[in-house]
Amino acid sequence: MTIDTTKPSIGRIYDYVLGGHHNFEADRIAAQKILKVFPSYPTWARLNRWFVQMVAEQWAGSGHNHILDLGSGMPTQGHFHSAAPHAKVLYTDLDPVTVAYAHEVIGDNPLVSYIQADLRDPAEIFDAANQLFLGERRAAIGFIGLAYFLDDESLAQLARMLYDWAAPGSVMALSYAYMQIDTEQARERLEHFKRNSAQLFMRDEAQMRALMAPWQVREIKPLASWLGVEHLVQEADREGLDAEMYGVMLVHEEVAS
Amino acid sequence: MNDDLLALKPALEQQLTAALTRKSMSNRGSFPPFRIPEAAKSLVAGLLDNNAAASVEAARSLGRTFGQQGLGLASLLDAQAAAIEIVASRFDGAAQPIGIVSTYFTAVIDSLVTTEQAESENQRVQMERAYRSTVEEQREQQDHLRSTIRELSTPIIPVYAGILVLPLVGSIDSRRATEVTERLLEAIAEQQAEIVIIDITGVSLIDTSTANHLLMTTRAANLLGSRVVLVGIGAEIAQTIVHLGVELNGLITLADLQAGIAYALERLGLAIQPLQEQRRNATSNWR
Repeated sequence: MTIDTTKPSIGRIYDYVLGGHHNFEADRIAAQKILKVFPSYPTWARLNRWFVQMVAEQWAGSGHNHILDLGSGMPTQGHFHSAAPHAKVLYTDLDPVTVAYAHEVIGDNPLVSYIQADLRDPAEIFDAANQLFLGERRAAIGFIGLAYFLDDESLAQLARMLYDWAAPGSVMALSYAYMQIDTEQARERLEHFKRNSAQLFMRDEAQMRALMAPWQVREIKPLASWLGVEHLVQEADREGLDAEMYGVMLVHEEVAS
Repeated sequence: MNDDLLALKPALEQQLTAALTRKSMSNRGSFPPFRIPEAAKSLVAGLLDNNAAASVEAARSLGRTFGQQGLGLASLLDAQAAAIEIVASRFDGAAQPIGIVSTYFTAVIDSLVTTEQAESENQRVQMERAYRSTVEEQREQQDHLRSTIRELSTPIIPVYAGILVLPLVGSIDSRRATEVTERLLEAIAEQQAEIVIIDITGVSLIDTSTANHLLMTTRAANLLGSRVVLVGIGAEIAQTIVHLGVELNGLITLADLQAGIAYALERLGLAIQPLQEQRRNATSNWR
């Protein structure tokens, strides 16, 4: 993948709306365009980013020592390796600049690896995971802030491949977006986002459960509920739409012997 | 005075937590709401420290930490307002306690803003560096790939002592033609080649500049004492050459590689003969 700083990158737009400075002019311009029609974007982006940190703390607390994080973005404060300093963590991202930056921030830490990889071709992610985890496949998988960028087929295929790779007892955390899209306003919003950044795929719970099978859903609730900040998401953040961002905890069930 | 403030500890912690929570969305993505109670406790602890000098230092250090963690300025200003309100109502608006609170918060805010600025500058510099190193790495990869392709696309084969064959395949632009010339001249000098056969059977297209390059290569080879034979000119390329009006003077052209090799050997006083004939000659010599 070649780098072109004149073209916005979704990861860097995300960083910008989160208040970061890991972005270029093109990203900031694209972000401003999105914010004009989708002013609540920073709220939803924050909930996602905070959810990552909550999950990181939870996994560190429950002793998950092998963490595979997909579409990691900037590994800034509160990411998996800082929350769980003794765990082996493999981060991945599609953007080469993010990966280069991450290498600089992480430095020489033998427990942490950050690779550039495309989720549509996860074979090399599994290779890297096998290498870093020394063959251990009972893992905790971070899949946060990604599902809504993947179409049904890609998502189902990736879920299946992750399931096949991971050993029973593995867990996964993901977030997904729901929006009632049968109104003109909703369609317009999605269209605008697509033009300035990326296509978004909205799903309800039943669709998500079906696409993530055979992963078993342990718990689904809005991100704001996971974080205990329901009161922070105002009616205005939904912009008159029937919309919500959910967090899901999934497990790879132990096979009864 | 500070002892009086101390009595307000629970109320301060509670109100500051509430204020910081209200403004959670002003925090950066790196500061999750579940860190707020802890942040409020540290703020109150610093404020209630009995030693004024230590309190200022604690304030600066807290500001730095908050700045690095991504606590928003709006959060902190709200916390300050909440703290002043509590203290003002407890001390009936007396100036001194309010002054303590405001001095303390000014130090925290000042330090947070400075850290924020340094942090944003730092992130920008790191990002630029990451960008440059990525571009550099990609350029290295491309250079490596290009040199591999170059080596693959310009094989110079010593078929016999003094004879080199250079089969060219694909399209040849000026850049590649220059590379071919360079590599060929190196090989001529190295192998002391007398004859070079350039086989263009696999070349699909040729233009004026490519044809001129071939001619220049020929001349340069001549200067090194080599003769160049061009073989494998297809009908299309022959037409192009004629059409372009390129003069191929000084170039020996032959139909194919076989003819080229036969010619080269002949120039060296050699020939490829059937084995039988060789044997017959040898036998007749014995007689």
